[in-house]
Amino acid sequence: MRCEQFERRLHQVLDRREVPSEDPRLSSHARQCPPCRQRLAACHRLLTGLDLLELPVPGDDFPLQVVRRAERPRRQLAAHRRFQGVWASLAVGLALALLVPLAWYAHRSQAVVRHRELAARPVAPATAIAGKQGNLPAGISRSPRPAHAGPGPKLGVAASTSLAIDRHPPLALLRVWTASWSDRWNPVDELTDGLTPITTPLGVAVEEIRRTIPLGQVEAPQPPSADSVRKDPRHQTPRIA
Amino acid sequence: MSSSLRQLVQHCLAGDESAMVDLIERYRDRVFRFCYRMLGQRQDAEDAAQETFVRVLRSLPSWDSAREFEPWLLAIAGNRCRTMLAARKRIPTTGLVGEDQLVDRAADGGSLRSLREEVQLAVLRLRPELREAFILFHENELSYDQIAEALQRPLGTVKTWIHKARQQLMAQLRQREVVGERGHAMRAV
Repeated sequence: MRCEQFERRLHQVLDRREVPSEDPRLSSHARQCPPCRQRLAACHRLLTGLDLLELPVPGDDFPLQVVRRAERPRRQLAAHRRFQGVWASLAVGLALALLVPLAWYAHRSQAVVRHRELAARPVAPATAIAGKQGNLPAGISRSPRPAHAGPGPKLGVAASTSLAIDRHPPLALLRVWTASWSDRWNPVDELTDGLTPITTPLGVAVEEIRRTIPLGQVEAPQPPSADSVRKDPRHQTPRIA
Repeated sequence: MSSSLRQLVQHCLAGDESAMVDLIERYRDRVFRFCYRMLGQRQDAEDAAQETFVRVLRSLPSWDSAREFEPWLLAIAGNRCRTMLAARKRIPTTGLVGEDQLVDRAADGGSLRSLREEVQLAVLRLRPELREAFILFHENELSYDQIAEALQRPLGTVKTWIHKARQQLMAQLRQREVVGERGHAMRAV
C-alpha cells in the first residue's frame, strides 16, 4: 500500500464510522511508514478527543423559555391587530366627521346657486305652480314645506318649493331634510320685503350699486366757471329796488 | 419520520404547549451541543439554540413532512450559528482554554483533559462550513446525504469538506506532537 492509498482508505474507514487502528491494512502500512504512522496516531488522538468532548446541556427551563419566546410575537401580533382595529375605527370616524360637513356645505352651495337661478327667472304666480301636481313627471311628487323650516324666502313660490323623489324614499328624505336646513340658514331668507338678491356678476353688481346709490356719482365734479358762479344765488348781490 | 414525531408535530401545530415542550426536550441536547461546537461559548450556544427552536416552532406550518426533521432542524441551527459568527466576526475562543495553556499542558505529558481541549480548539479553528459539516458527521452522526440536504450543498462538496476538516484537524494535532517531541529532543541533548 502506498501513502496515497493509506490516506484514501483512512477516510473510507472513518466514513464507515469504524476505528482506523483496527483496520489490518492501515496498521500494516503504518508499521512500515513513519509519516503514515504519525497520521494514524493523530487520527486516533482526534477520535479520542472527540469522545472526550464535554457534553454541555442547557438549563432545565430551556424548553419553557423557548415556548415563551415563540409565543411572545403571537401576542404582540394579536395586540397589534387590536390596535389596528381601533385605529381603523378612529380613521373612519374622522373621515365621516370631515365628509359630512363637506357634503352639507356642497349641498348648501348648490341650494344657494339654485335660489339665485330661480330668483333670476321671472316669478310665476303661486297658484300656477301649486295647481300643477298632476303635470310632474312620474315618480316625482311635490312635498309640502316642513313646518320647522320656517317661513322660507320671500322670493316667490318657486324658490321655496322642494321636490322629493318617491322612488328613493331615503334619498328623498335626506334631500328634503338638507333643503330645509339650507332654506332655514340661507341668508336670502333674511332679506326684507322689496329687496331681491344680487344675481348678476360681481362687476355688474358694483357698477349697478355705484349707479343707483345717490352718493356714488360716476362723473367727476366740474370745476367752477364764471357762469356757474354768476348763476349761483349765493354769489348774487341783492338788487336794491 | 416516525409516527410519534409526526403526532408531536401535529399537536405543536394545533398550539399544544406541552407538545412544544416535548419536541424541544427531544432535540435540545443535540441542537445545543451542535451550537456549542460551532460557537465555542455556552451563552452564545444557548441563545442560538433558543433562536433555532423558536424559528422551528414558527416554521412548522411550512415544514414539508416528507423531509427528515433532524437535518432540517440542524440546518436552521447552522444558519443561526453562521449568523452569530458573522455578527461577532472574531474567532470564538473567549471562554475556552487559552492556546498557551494548551502548549504547557501538552508539554507536561498531554493528559486527557488537555487532549479534549486541544481537539475543541482545533475544531473551533476550522472554517465555519468545514466545522459544520464535520460536527454534523462526527458528533450528530448524520449521513452524508442528510448533511448535503441540511447544508443545501452537493454530496461531493460535503464529502470534500469533511475530508478536508479531518486532514486539518489531524495536521493540527500532529503539529502539537511535533512541538512536544522537539522540546523533548532539546532536553535530551
